[in-house]
Formats: sequence, structure tokens, C-alpha cells
Amino acid sequence: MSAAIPPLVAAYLRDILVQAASPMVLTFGPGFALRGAAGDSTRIGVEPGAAAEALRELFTGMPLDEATVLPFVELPGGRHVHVHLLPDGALFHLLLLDASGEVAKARPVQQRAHDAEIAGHEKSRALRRLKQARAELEAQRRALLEANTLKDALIATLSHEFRSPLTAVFGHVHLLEKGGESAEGRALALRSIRRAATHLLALSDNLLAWARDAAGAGVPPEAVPIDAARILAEVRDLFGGAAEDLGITFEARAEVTGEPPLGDPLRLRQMLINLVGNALRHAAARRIEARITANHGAVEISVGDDGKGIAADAQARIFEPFNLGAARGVRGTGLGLAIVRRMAREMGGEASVESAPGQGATFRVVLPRQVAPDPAAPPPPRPQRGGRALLADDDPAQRTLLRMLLQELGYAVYEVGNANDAVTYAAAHAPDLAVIDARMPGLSGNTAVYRLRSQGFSGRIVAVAGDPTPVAREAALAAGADAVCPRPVDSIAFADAVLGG
Amino acid sequence: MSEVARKICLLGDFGVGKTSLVARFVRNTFSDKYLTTVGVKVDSREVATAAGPRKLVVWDIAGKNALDSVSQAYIRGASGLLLVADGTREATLRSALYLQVQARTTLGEVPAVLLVNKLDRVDDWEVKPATIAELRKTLPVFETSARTGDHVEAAFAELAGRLPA
Repeated sequence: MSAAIPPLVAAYLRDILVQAASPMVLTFGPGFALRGAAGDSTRIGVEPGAAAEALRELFTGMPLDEATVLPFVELPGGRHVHVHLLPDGALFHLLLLDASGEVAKARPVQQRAHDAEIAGHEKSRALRRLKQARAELEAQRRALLEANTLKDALIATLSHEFRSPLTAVFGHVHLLEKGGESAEGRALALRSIRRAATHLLALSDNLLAWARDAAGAGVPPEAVPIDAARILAEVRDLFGGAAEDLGITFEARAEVTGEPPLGDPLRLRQMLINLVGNALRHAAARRIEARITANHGAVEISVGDDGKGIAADAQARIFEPFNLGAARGVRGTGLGLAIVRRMAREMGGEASVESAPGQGATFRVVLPRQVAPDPAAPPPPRPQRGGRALLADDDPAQRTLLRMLLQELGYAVYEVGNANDAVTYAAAHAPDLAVIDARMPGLSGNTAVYRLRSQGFSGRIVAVAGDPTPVAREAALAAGADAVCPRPVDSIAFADAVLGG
Repeated sequence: MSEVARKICLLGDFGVGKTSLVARFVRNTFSDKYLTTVGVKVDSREVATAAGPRKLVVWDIAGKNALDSVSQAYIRGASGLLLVADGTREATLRSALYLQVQARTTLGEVPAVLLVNKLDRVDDWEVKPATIAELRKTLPVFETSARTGDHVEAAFAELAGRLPA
């Protein structure tokens, strides 16, 4: 057990501690009236009057009759103190102890820890974006590589496909020019030339059809009366000789019930040419039958053969373009069946194949009844949704353009020039559609989109973005946009974005 | 007529922008440099409310994701809370809501307004708009930017208007 510290030592020690702490004491009476000040105000750096004012604010709402400690309070001059409230009857004392030294030590440590955590978070975000950008680049690279491979394959195939028949044509022409051939020999040469020319015609038709569609220049299907027998006769004329030379029996039949069906004769002819040409080249058949069946407007084209058939796994890919579904070494551009399927779908139908290895194959195109357009009827209007649209863009010229496009789509348009006005208007009027420029001065369009969504706006939002990067697009979608329309604005793309097409 | 003084506290994780929000509200200033707060700093500003002028004594409390005993001492006597989150760090939103729950043990039910800060960086936000739309059903929420000042005044005014007379 230790003895009590002698009073002399205790007093000495108290003097040392008081001197070291340099306390400042302010005594207050009722109503926070300053009654007295003691201690060293220079260490705290605030005069008693100013300190009293700051302390009155500090204790707003707090009980003054309970002992309280408030550590690390920053005073108006920037110095930190520990504030101790000591009730003393009707009075109370506020003891201020300098904490600047402790803050000077603690702050850099705390700052480093916080900076490191925030930096770590930013780094994670940057890495996530980098990973996303790399994945997008890799996907683009793969797509380019695939396109390049397809292009190379197409060029190689075309080279073969064009050169083989042309070689035959030149060879037979040379023989005919030389003369001396028998009548049978000349007829054989002419048939060969015709077969080669037919193949080249089909080839060029397919390439043009594919290229037109790829360029978006395809012509909509017609709906005019179809002479099925005539189409079949044309196809028979084209392929009859080739079939005969190959020892294949080629039959073509038309069965029409009711009125002649409506459809697009050129597309039907092209589909039949592709299907028959496909059977002649690949089926190794003894017999091929092409048929057009029309039943009160609905049309079915079928081309069947008794050839080697198609394996089930190949059937799933056989309509893919550029020989993607074909076995290596198979001739053809790989466009014929792809074009058949595409044309069938353009007319609201579908193309299919039934086959089994060794049991031949039957390709079918089923087309629904087509309806003739009324020549007196106006052109079909662009689909409209209509309603009230909010348009936010800081550029008046851009606003004018977008307003006109929206009005064409049937919208009544209210225009604003900044993000805040957009949010305010939407909150008050709940428009059906908001078209927001993603980059506006001040708070961005994405901010407006975000705030619209966070306030429960449920209408469609289209962000118009000048920045074409995937990151910018993702930012607009993450903010809550339903669609992003790039600048310069294309009227069709804009309509799709607005109408959700 | 002298104004009625009310103590309000800003609660939120570190680095969410509490000090910047107070600087914008009280002095209309902003600094890009992040300086961590140690302890507490008290400022005040008078605002007009429907009930008349009111002096807000604003306690900017060092950022934490939970209230310790010191922070509990700081918030004593507060009439309202400004809960602050950083939109670019979703975890800070959870912290702000958790701090509100903890503050109830000291304060009981007091008015609170949620500020989701750093609106100027909305492209970096992790907090989804649907999350905020959902939160609005239970408490007032403001997307703020201490940098641009957007909706800072409105957020403080909202709390001032909800404080008891």
C-alpha cells in the first residue's frame, strides 16, 4: 500500500500540470452570461469574449447542468481544444485545454489512412473500367478478325466460283471458234456454256442481293399476282440442261388452288434458283423436284432431292452466310441458302429443311398470304407514340432540329436549356418522354437523367450523346436513360430511340 | 427579433464532403483539397423558414461509419440531422443510414435529411437512381454537389423547415 502524496508535492505537481496545460477557464451565470475568465488565453488564441460567443453556439441545445466533455473542438481561429463543462451551483465553468499538439500528431495519420482508402476505391473503379474497355476492345478485335476471315474466305470462294465456269466458257468458245466440231459436239459446247452462264448469273444475283441488303438499300417485297407455272418454267430452262448433263431427273410442278397468289415474283424466282442450284451442286441426287403450291394465297416452295442428305448438326447451320455451316471444300459462295431464308422472312415467312443422311433433303419456304397495297391509300405513316415530350438541350439549333423530329413523331414539345430546368419541369408536369442532351453546361444531362429517375420519373428517357464511346453510352444508361442516340442525329435512329424500336 | 438557434449535426463516413457542404452553405466556398476533419467544427448561419428566421448551429463531426462514445457526446442536444453519403461510394450510403439508426439512441426521433453528395461526378456514381427513389419514401433525399452548390441550400432549408419550433 502506498502512502498519500505529501501535500507539498501534490501542490507542486498541480502547479506543474496547470502550467503545462495552460488552461483557460470561463465562468458563466444564468443565460450564458460571462461572469469571469481565468488562465492563459494566448495559448488558445481566442480572447475570452470571442471564446464565450463561440461556446454559447457550441452548447446550443445541450444541458448546462451536467458535467460534459467535448474533445477536439475546433475554435474559430482554427485551434483545437478539449472543452470540459463543470456545473457549479447556479454557475458553470467551461475549461478549455489546448489540443493542438494532439491534433497535429493525429491529423496526418488520419489523413493518410483516409487518402489511402479513397485512392484504393478510385483505383478499383479505374481497374473495373479498364477491364471493361479491354473486353470491349477484345470483342471488337474478334469481330474484325472474323469479318476479315469471312472476307478472305469469300474472296477465295468467289475466285473459284467465277473462274471455274469462265474457264469452261472460254474452253468451249475456243473449240467452237476452231470449227470442225460435229453438230452433237457444238450442241454439247453450247449447253456447257449455258450452264456456266446460268451459274454465273445466279452467283452475281446473290452477291448483289446480299450487298444491297448489307448496304441497307434493299427494296421492299412486292405483292403482285404470281404466275407460278411461268416461274417454274424459267427455272427449268435455266437448270434443265445442267441436270440432264449430270444425269439428274429434274421436275418442276405448280399447284394453284383459288386465285393466283400475291407475292414478289423476283424473290420467288431467286429463292427457287438458289434452292435448285444448291441441290444440283451438293445433293449428289438422281432426282430433283421443284414445286410451288399455292392455296388461297398462301404459298409453299419446296425443292426435294433423293441425294446424300444432310446431317442434323449441319442442318442447324446451313442457312448461315458464307459457308459457315458447310463442310470444308464444299463449293459455293455460302450465300444462296442465307438469301433464301432472308427473303422468306422479308415476306413474313420462313425457310426450313427436312433431311436425314442418305435419305435426301427437302427445302421448304412457307409464305403467308400477301395483301395487295391499296394504290389510293396514302403511304404508311411513321409509327407515332405522341404525347408530351420534354426536350433539354443548351444549343438552340440542336433543340430546333430535335423539336421538329419529335413533332413529326406526334409529340407536343416543351423545351428547356439546362439540366435543372429539365428536372423541375418533369417533376411538375410528368411528360411522357424526356429527350436530354447528355452534355450540358453546369450539371450534365446525365445528372438530369439520374435525378429524373431518382425522383420516380417513369417515362421514356432518350439521351442524345455527342461522345460516341461505349463508356459515354454506358454512363447515360447507368444514369437511367432507356436509349442513347448519337450525334449527329439521324432521324431514323432518333425515331427508333424515341419509340423504342 | 432575435432568431431561434437550433443545433444540427452532419453525420457520414469520411470523405463524403461534410466539411465542403458546410463551407458551401455557410461561406459559399469550395476547395478541391480533401482535408480530414479531426473532432468537430461548429459553424452557424441564419436561414429563413416559414416559422421565421432561424439560426442553424451546424456541427461538422469527423467522418465515421459508426458512432463512438465521443460522437454520441457531440450529437447531444441536436434538433436535426443531415446524413451525408457520397454517390460515388455506395458503402457510404449504408453508413449514413446506419449512423441515423445509432443516433436515435441518443436523440430519439429527430428530423433528418439525406444528402447524397458529389452530384457533379454523376457518371461515377455507384448509388443507383432506383435506390434513391426508394429512400425518398422514408426521408427527404437531396442529390447535392458541394463543388457546384447544387441543392445544398435546398437540403439545409428542408431540414430547417422540419425542425421543431
